[in-house]
Amino acid sequence: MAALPKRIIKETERLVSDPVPGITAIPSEENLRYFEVTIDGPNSSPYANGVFHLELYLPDDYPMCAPKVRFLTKIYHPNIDKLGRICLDVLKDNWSPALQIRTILLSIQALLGAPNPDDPLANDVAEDWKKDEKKAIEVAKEWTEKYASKKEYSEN
Amino acid sequence: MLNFDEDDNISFEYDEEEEEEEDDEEDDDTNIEADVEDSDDDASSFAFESDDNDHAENYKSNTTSNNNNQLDTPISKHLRDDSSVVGCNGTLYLPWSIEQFIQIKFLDALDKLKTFNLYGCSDDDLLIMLQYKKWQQEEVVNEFFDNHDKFYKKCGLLLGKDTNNQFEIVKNFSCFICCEDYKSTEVYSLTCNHQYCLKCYHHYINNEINNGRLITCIEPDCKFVIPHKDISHMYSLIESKHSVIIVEKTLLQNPLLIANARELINSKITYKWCPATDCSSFTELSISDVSCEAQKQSDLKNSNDISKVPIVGCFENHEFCFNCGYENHLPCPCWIVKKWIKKCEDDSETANWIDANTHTCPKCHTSIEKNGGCNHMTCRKCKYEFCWICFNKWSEHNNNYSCNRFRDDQKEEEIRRNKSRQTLERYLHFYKRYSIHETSMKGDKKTLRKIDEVTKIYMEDRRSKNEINNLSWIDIEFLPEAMRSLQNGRKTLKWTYCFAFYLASSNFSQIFETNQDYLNKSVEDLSEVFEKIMDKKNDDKVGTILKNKIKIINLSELILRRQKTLIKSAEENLLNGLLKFEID
Ligand SMILES: [Zn+2]
Ligand SMILES: [Zn+2]
Ligand SMILES: [Zn+2]
Ligand SMILES: [Zn+2]
Ligand SMILES: [Zn+2]
Ligand SMILES: [Zn+2]
Repeated sequence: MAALPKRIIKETERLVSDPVPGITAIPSEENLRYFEVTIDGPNSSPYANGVFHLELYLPDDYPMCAPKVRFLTKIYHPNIDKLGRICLDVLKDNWSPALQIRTILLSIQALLGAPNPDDPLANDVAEDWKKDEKKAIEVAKEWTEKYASKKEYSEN
Repeated sequence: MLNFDEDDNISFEYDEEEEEEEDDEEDDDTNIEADVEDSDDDASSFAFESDDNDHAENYKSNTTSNNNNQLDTPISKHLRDDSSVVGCNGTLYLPWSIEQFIQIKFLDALDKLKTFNLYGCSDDDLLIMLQYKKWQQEEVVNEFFDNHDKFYKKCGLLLGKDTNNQFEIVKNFSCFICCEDYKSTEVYSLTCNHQYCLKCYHHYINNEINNGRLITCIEPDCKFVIPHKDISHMYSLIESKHSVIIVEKTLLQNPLLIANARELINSKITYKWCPATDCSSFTELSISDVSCEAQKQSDLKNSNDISKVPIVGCFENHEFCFNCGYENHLPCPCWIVKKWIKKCEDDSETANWIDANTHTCPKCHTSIEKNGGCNHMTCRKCKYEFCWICFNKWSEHNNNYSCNRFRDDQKEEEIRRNKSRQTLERYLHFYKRYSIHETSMKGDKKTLRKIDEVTKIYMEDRRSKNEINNLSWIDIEFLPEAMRSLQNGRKTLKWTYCFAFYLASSNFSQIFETNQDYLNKSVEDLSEVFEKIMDKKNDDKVGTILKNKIKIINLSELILRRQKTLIKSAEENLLNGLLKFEID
């Protein structure tokens, strides 16, 4: 395997030494470009008290290309589909090499706090959301309790 | 029944006195050729330039002709008249090169825009505005006068102030992107002064450029747009790291303009890229009514009328089918081509098997490497002359070139074999011939390229010695034509095997096969002439070309005639139902 670019080493060091509140990102031992990530659901959102697991991979072109990020924990959210893929501009067209793993994870956390059903990835969820927001929020809460509670995951 | 005159019993003229000589000496000869052959890139073509001439001019002509077909006479093609070309069966089209496209669609628009004297706009600004407005200079003018503050902002430009884009060398620079701490490094920044190292910027642009859109500063949310000229300069700087000479890219070679042109070409159905592997030109179909054209194309999908196949040419004179995007596949209709290509992909495993098994002499089993395109093989060891395609003795071919047909010679034996094996063998029979001609096309091309270089060197040599009287371009003017005729003839030949594979057997299919035999014979003959000219032992290659001039011209015309006859006859007999395809 090619040597790890200095950029990735520096980012990793900082993620460990100066972690973002509510977010952990730990590089895998076998592959330092692969991170196991957890994000705490924001307090004022239907995802509060949930801990969401994600995987993050830095492709060869990183930082010229965005990292690849995906939810592993099931989540009911209009911008996240069944496979855990995320619809977020900074992961696509608006990626800039000056952004970092840290900023991307913060953006994802913000997305949990502010779902955007007008730019949907999971169409059925977005539909529900627009039709009956109250009910959708209830479902999101249920799912959070069912799939993302701290206890639940550690048992698996 | 169509008949050809049994013309030209061709003998080859060059002095073969020194038939057997030591290998070492031959090698000296071929080294030069090998160099010539590999000289596709500008770096090595420097070797052929005379030192006394001014280098700058030489270099220019070298880079612009870089992509041009080596087989063509060096006529400048940068002049353009806008009248369409008529293809071999009436298709109207315009061949384009990328440079031409950039010149006409982009740079001419820039020149027009300049005449409006938009206040305070540099050429850099105008190019950005034009690309932003998809090269509609009227729209640029309208928006500019409508609300130039807003327009400027939309384009990522700074109004009223001079831009301050900088390439500079900075000491003790830490790049935020690559996290390197440089003692001293080249740095680029736009007016916003967001500095990043040149390596990162180049990498970033290289990545962004593929979608052909304007590129902004690396900093997220910073909307300043990088001017085209700076992109050119950046590429020149990076490329100059690998060579001694710094060559500033012109706007015609600007990476962003090229990428943008590619995007525009890809997005319009009236443009199609030439499918030839070493060709970057494209063709525009001249049509008045797009919807009518769409109908025509969908009709073509199942039609046997090969007179309607829209064969067009590219800027480098490669012929291809605008409908399916493959090379000129006549006499096959498009739908047969599609079927065949799919079949070949599916059966590529079995096809590989034959490839691996046919590289030995049928008599002494010495392994033989095929270099040129000619299929008349002579074993180096036992001197056995045989046909590369059918592995029979070559002498058996001379009067009756009959290796094309799938003969049921071993009928009795085959009855014993099961049916599926028979179908496979039948397929392999045709596929093998199809793919051998494909390989031979490459072999021919190699030989032709060598001939091209040899004559070029010879001409240069003559010029420097001032012996103009001896030989001029006019004397070898016939060569490019003959080379093209060989290449196109073999291409048609290749597709006849696809045609024959699906052809239902009848009296008329025999006519087709006869035509195929004739074309095959003349293609192999001409290929052999060229190959012999380039034989290692021949030390007067140009002399041999001249000696064989009449023969080359005759053969080349013969190929053209036979090719036309074959296609015309196939076209007619398909239309009147005398030839039919049989699809399992
Ligand atoms: Zn850098
Ligand atoms: Zn900036
Ligand atoms: Zn071409
Ligand atoms: Zn076609
Ligand atoms: Zn032999
Ligand atoms: Zn043969």
